[in-house]
Amino acid sequence: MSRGVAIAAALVIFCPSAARPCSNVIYLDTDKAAQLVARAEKAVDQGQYQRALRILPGAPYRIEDAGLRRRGALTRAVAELRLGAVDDALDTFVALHRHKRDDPFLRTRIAEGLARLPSDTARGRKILDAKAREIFDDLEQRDLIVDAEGWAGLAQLRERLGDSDGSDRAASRCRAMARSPATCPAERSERLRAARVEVPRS
Amino acid sequence: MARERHCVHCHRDILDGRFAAPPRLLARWRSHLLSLNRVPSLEGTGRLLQRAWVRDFLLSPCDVRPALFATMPRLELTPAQADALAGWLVPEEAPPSHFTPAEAAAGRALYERLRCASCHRFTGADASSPPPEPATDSVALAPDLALARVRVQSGALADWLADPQRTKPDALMPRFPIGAPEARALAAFILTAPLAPTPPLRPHPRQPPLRRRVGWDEVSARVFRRTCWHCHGQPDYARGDGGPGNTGGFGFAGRGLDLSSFAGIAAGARGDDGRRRSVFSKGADGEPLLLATLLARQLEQTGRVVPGVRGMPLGLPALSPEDIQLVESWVLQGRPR
Repeated sequence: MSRGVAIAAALVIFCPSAARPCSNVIYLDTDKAAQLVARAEKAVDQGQYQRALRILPGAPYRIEDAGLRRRGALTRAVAELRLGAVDDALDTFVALHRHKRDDPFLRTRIAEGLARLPSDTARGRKILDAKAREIFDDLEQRDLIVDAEGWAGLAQLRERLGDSDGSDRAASRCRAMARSPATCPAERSERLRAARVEVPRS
Repeated sequence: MARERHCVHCHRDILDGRFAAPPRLLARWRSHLLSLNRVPSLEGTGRLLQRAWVRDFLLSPCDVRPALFATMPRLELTPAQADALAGWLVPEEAPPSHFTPAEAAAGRALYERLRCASCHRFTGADASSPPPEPATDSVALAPDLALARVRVQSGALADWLADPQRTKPDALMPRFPIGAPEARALAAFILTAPLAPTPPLRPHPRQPPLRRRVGWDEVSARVFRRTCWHCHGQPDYARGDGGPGNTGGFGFAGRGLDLSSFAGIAAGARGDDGRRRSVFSKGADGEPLLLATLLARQLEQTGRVVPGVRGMPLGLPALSPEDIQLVESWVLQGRPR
């Protein structure tokens, strides 16, 4: 079999049929894209973030439908956030937020991202934490923190800022909502118990 | 734009097989679109119905057609708007007719002979009732005749019975081989037959919250995904839009409420001020808003409107007490995933 035929055969076998080439981009049709985004969202729900990133179409594939493209970008960013690529995730959340100013899901993720964004200076850390807290506090006041991960982010931020009671309140909401307790910070009593165990006896 | 985003436009295309979607999806969607084919036409409304009844019905729709799954949704209309709409639909009424007991007695015999009960229920009357489901389109659209005396112009009913298609060309009601005196007798029976008092409708008693854990998957499968999601969808996923409960429709402004996902429901809905608020925040009666709307729908079905709260699901039967119990339990447990 000639090399050309082999390449052609490979293209037929491996290229998704539900796609339309256009210059250097291959557009996925709506049905295929919807299936991929839905599978990726499910993977994120199940905590399988690497899998979600593998499912979502990357270059040269592009989702044609604008709404689905936004959903895909959002799902990718959530997976990135959970895997520690906070910078990239935050860029996406902020870009999407420009089109949906009062979207609690995006605002929760932005607050979570700001609280986790590395900072080289104490002053930078303080600014990021203050902004994250401002968003979280507003959402909490309106009961619009959208999931356990959001409450966990608020609990951790408050703990870092020395607000243990506030942290416990947020952790408690997290535990009520979470599919798995591992999502949430431990209760203060558990943390104290763990700290006592770790103290070396003299 | 209005045509593109209108529910009926896409739904009609789905029914007619013109909508751009795979056949597998079209077949599934078609099986859900029962109500669209069973919406009573407004043709001839002004020649048959009472203006005052139309006005009241617009403000507080009741279940006119017992075999029809959906009812008229309670729209966002002021009394003045309902007045104006009723006046437009019923510009003038026929002079009232008066009937004799002898006519009514003859009408009763005709009612049985013509088998009116094959389609119509006549609640409270000493008359036959229709067989149980399955309902055909004509049975589904047949109104309960007990309402005729408040709903239909007494001076127009005999003409309608004699030749329904003359009043309303697209009427499903068949034309029976009866003359004017017989039609008048039938009208007399329908409008004057004694009706046994029916016990006042009461909402089902509220069930106590469940003690077992209720998770999102269960409450979503039984309630949100099954009932709410169709009107409160995620616009980025839907091929049309997010539905009237999200992007607006039926005269309602878009509330941005997405009940298709855990994060969507937690993201709340836009209030009249355009600001988002949680659907779990408590209203004036201390109930979380989400629960208040579900309970309000139960009351609407008993003829009572809760001021400031629109019962949900709009235009559909209220959720069962067990489903409301499930939602309430989930909310009280902190909305577990």
